[in-house]
Amino acid sequence: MVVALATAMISCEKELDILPEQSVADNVVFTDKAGAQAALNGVYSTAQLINVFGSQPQIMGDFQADNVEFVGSFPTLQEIFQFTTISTNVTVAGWWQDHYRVILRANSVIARVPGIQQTGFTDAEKKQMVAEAKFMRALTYFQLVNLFAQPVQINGGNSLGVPLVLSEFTGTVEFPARNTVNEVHLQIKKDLEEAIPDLATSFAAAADTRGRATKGAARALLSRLHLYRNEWAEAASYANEVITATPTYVLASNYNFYDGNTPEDIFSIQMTTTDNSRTGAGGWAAYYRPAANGGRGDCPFTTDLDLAFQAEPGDRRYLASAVGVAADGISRRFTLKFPDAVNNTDNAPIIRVTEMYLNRAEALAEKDGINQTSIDLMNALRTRAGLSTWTLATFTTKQQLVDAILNERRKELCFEGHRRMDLLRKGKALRSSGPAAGISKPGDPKVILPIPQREIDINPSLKGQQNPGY
Amino acid sequence: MRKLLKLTVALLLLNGQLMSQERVVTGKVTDITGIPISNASVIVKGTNNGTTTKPDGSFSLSVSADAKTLVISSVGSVTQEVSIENRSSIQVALKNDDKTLSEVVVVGYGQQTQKLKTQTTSVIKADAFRNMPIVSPTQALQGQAAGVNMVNSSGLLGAAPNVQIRGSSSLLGGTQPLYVVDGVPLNDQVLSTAQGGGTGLNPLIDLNPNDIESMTILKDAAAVAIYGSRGTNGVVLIKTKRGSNNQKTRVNLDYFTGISKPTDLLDMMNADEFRKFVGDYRAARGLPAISFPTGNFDWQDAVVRNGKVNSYNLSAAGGNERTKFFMGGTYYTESGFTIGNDIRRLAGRLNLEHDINRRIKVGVNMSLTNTKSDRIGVENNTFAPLTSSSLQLPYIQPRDANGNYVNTGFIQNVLAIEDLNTNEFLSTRIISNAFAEIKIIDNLKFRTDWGIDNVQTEERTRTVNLLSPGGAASRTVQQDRKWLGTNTLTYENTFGDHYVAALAGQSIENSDFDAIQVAATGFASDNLPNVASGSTPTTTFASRSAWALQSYLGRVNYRFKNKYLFEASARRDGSSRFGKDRRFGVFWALSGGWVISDERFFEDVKFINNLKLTASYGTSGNDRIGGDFPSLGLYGGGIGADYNGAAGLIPTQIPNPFLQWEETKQFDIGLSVSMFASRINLNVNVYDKRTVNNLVNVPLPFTTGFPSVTQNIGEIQNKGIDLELNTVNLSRKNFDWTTSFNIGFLKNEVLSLPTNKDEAGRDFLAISTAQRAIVGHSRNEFYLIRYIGVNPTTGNAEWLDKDDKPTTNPVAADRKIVGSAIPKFTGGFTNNVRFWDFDLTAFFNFSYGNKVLIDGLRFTENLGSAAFNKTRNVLNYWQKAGDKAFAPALASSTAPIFNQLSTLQLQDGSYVRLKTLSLGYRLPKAVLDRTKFISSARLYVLAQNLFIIQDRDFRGPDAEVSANGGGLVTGESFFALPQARTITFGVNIGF
Repeated sequence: MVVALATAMISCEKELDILPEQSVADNVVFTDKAGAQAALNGVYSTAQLINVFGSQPQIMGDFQADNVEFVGSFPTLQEIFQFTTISTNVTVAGWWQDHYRVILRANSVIARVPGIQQTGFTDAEKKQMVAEAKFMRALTYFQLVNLFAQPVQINGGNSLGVPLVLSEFTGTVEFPARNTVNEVHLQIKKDLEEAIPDLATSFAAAADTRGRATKGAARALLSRLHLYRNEWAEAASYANEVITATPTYVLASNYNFYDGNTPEDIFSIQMTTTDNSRTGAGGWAAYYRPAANGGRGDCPFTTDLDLAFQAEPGDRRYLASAVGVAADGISRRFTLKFPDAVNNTDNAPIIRVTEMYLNRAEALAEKDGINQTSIDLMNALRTRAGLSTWTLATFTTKQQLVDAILNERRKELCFEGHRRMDLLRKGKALRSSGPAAGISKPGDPKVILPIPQREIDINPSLKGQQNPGY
Repeated sequence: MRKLLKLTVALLLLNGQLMSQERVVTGKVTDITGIPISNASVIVKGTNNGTTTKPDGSFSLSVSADAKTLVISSVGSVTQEVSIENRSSIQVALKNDDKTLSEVVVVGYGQQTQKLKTQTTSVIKADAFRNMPIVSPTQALQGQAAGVNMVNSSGLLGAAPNVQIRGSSSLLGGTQPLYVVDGVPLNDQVLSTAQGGGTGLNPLIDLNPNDIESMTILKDAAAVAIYGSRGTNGVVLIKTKRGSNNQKTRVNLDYFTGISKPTDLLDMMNADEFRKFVGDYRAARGLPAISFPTGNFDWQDAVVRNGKVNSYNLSAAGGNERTKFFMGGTYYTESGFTIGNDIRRLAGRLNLEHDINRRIKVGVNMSLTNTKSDRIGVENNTFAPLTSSSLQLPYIQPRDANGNYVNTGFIQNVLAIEDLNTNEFLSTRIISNAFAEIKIIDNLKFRTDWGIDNVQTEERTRTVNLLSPGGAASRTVQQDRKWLGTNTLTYENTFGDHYVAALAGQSIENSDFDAIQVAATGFASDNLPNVASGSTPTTTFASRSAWALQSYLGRVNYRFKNKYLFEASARRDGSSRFGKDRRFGVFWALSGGWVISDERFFEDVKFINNLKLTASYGTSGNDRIGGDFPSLGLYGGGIGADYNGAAGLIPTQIPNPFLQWEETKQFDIGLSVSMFASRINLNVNVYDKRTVNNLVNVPLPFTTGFPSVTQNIGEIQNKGIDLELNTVNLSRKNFDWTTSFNIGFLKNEVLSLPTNKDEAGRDFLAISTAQRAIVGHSRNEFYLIRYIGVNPTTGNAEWLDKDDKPTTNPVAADRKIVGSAIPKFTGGFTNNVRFWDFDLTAFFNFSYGNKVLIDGLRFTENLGSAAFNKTRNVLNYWQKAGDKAFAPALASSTAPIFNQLSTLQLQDGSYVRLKTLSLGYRLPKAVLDRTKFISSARLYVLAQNLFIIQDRDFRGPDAEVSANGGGLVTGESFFALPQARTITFGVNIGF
């Protein structure tokens, strides 16, 4: 009997081969169309993260500039707000990390999808997946280089940018050094130009036309890239390609388009209720809505922005705001662009038609001086805002027109993450008053973020490549 | 099973001897001074026939005609055998037992005597924690055994403790010991969410301290090798209470009730101070003034209350010739000293053993526990009462003019949260085992033992509309189910001067885990508590995993003349957690002992009654290497990877088929001395514990897309000295005084890490933002900018740069090693005094040489922000030359960075604490005799954490914390709840 009991337990070593039920082994992902599509969706999904396009780098684009007064309690965000960031700032490290997550996941799609052999999985489908991944890689690199490097206007784009990693991680650890801003920009341009022929013009569902990479989205991003590089002709021309691509893209007639997947949107990262948890501490609305509406109330208007709106009374864009109790217990004005602080389902408005109007108007003004096309483009926006129209006679110098366009750009795109780069590329200080006013010019150390200390510590190629002042 | 029954029947028949004739033996049992011993057991040798002595020590027993010997035993006396051949009346004087030496100690898969064991173990008996208002027995490990460092991570009810036995030898894997209850190794996965802290609730919250007879802590390789791949962090063997044969049933009722208060709190500004300070700050810096609301509210006062604790414990133990039992139940309720924190536990146990006949014994140990915790957020969570009360702006009111709660924003209205929201954790746990032991021949025993450990937990949260528009709810159900079977064969025999024992065994363990979570928002009414009433599901999550362990184990003992002792043990573990190419590990240990006091040359040394030297060397492993599938390359799906409703996949883990256990090689030398008839007992052990193949998350540049890859690379050494001293200082008829003292010195050193150089060229691994493991230093070195203070001349805060020069603008490169979170020594000191019917116990525990980081000070000592309250000490800011101020001048460029992470928040964590003080009174026998049914009664008052001696300037509030950052980070807190000062009154009544 002893033997019987003992042998009952003589076990089978197979019982030690246990596999998880909610993960799949890495080698089965890129074997068919479904796996490839899932991996591509994973790229978009990663871009939803709070550290990428889920709000934080975008709110920083407004609060490090003069649109938002950050009154929240996160010390790491406060540091950036106060221009006292240090290289061990964990929020900054998180942004860096998650941007590269998107990039590397896109790299896997770009590297592995072309080699998948499956009947019915067409070359066109494969190319489109690769192109979408390239768009996401370009978009992510662009935001990354804007965060961590001085604008191209400083040092002609020869400042250090970010490391370009373009291949899949297969286990062999590479230690890339920083490429220059120009090199990063060149890669972004290359990815987008390569992607355009293979991308779709639109999809059956509006959420896909706005939420996935398309020809229009790639062109619009190229317009922004060239604008940021003072390459006026290209910026104007790409913007025009999108503006004229009706009915896919149409300037909205009012301000009800947010989160609407309307023809105003060129590319928006889609957010659903279940993506709430993706955004960790919340999404856009979490910062832009007061606690009474479920947010944190961290990011109200600055007095400066308030004054900018009040300079021309009756601006309908100003009506899209309301006063609420901010994180510091004080009543302050908040935007209503992102209403859902409960589920954080507001889509991230990455590129919209209005920006193409602004890009083209600015590029032509810079290129040709005071011109009717720029005035017309701006009047379309001003009419929509309920403001008086401009004529050629409104301006006496080119600079006046450019500054006026920039001011419209501010009021149109505020809280969407553009302001910081718009000031830096124009050679303007991020703050015109307050303690940081003197240290917020383009080229000043703390207008850009430090390369995370951890990266410098473990990547020998980055030794000596920290941004000055950190 | 049928075979087992047949065999049982056969053995029963064999045993069925007929007893033809009988006679009566009478006698009296006394101690050596002639005082009668009652309740002594008198048994005919080799049978179950026996009785117990009456209060006058007398007994009468009818025995068979051929009965030759009586075995007479009593607790506290040496068992004696008396011949009854040709005698019908006997007088027996039992010698006082030399308890310490003959005491039986539970060891892995067996037991040994204190005198002859070669393993290094410490035993904590129930007496050490009886009547203590503790939620979990793991708390009783504090200060009771040398080399065991137990830190209460916070004063939260059910807070997970940080227990380390002989140092922490893992960088990534678990560092907590293995707990084994009556042979069932427990799962200790944390199933409750962290809610702001480093970890959830104590996973062993369901163990009832009242059930426990003793806890044996296995420390050296000789003791832990038999637990193989789970032995490295030490093992705690928990033995539950049981009855004894031929014992009158004893019923015990224990009740206590008490109140608790926090030992200390931060000193926060009131609204007037806050408004003035922020106003002054902004004026000094040219910032626009803020018009603050009026009014004042003391949030700290509102969240702190009188805690209450009540415990009812009823147990019965007894036995007849063949059966012994213990049954007990405890109903325990405690309300913590902050609002919203309550716990309620109902626990029951039945332990039963029955001798089917002389050869077969069967038994079960069963326990069932139901625990309900009303939880609160902790630490880095603005929904945590204490955190929030420290941060909340003091002019913010919890209620509007109509008395209704208001939503106060990001730092939420904790009074409303605790009043209106639901945040519960319920767990049900069954720990049971059943066994049969068969004596195949006299010296050979077979035991088969089957056990389960099932935990089911449920977490429920519900947030009302006021605090989250539309309301929100979640429900998480998790199950962790384990079963195991162990078969062992033991042989034991003596051949003249030679003693031989051997153990061979086999064990399998299977565990599977399940978790399901749903969450939703959008409720029509706050009166719909169920998550399914929400309109928008925000989370649907399910997870399953499993692991299995298959093992063979063995041990051989050999003794010559009980003077020269040898032991060898080994275990081979196959674990599903290890990589395919590293699936099986063999662990082993050798040990020896020499009882010097039994040598002829030692006979003259009269004052030493026992002197033993032991040495051991061996290996053990750590299988806590990161979840159940740490070796596989994985892509994960679910809502973390989907896009716009379409399924997605994201890479989550890099494959590593060579991943294996961490392995520890430990050397131990020990000396045990008993002097003056065992009135002084001293154990000293010196050990060197070296862990190789340490699991390390080798950090990867984020540019790989992964933060790290897990590899077996690091090496860690823990060296130390454990000293335990127990003395009987006085032993008089009406006055006893005993002392026990233990201290463990520890030196932890990281020997190697993957290449990752710091500024000084040393390899390091970041443990937290503030802590690093550094080669040549400990695994928990604080690595920070050094704050030196406010310059009295300039009013600037100053730090040291890397060249030790003062700077007002420190950078990351200025960080240095500034102390370790690991204490140089820890220990405890207990005095027990009995005088007439009174007893007094004072138990101190202490920790020395460790640093503690109170991260929350970065917020409360933040000068610039008007978003949260501050502590009063920043009011002491520099105003004029010569000021020795705490904070810099408000206009100083250093004012906004004064609070940045630096040694400003790092403090000396050394302390001595009067952990327990109790005074009891035993009702005299004469009084009890009148009641007829009460046999003993004791009333007592017990106080915990009455006072602490710590750094006078400690800003904390409590040096005894480790709640921030999880189990691998030690000595960091955000706003940890301080320990409770508890005073309880209780009774122990025996029937």
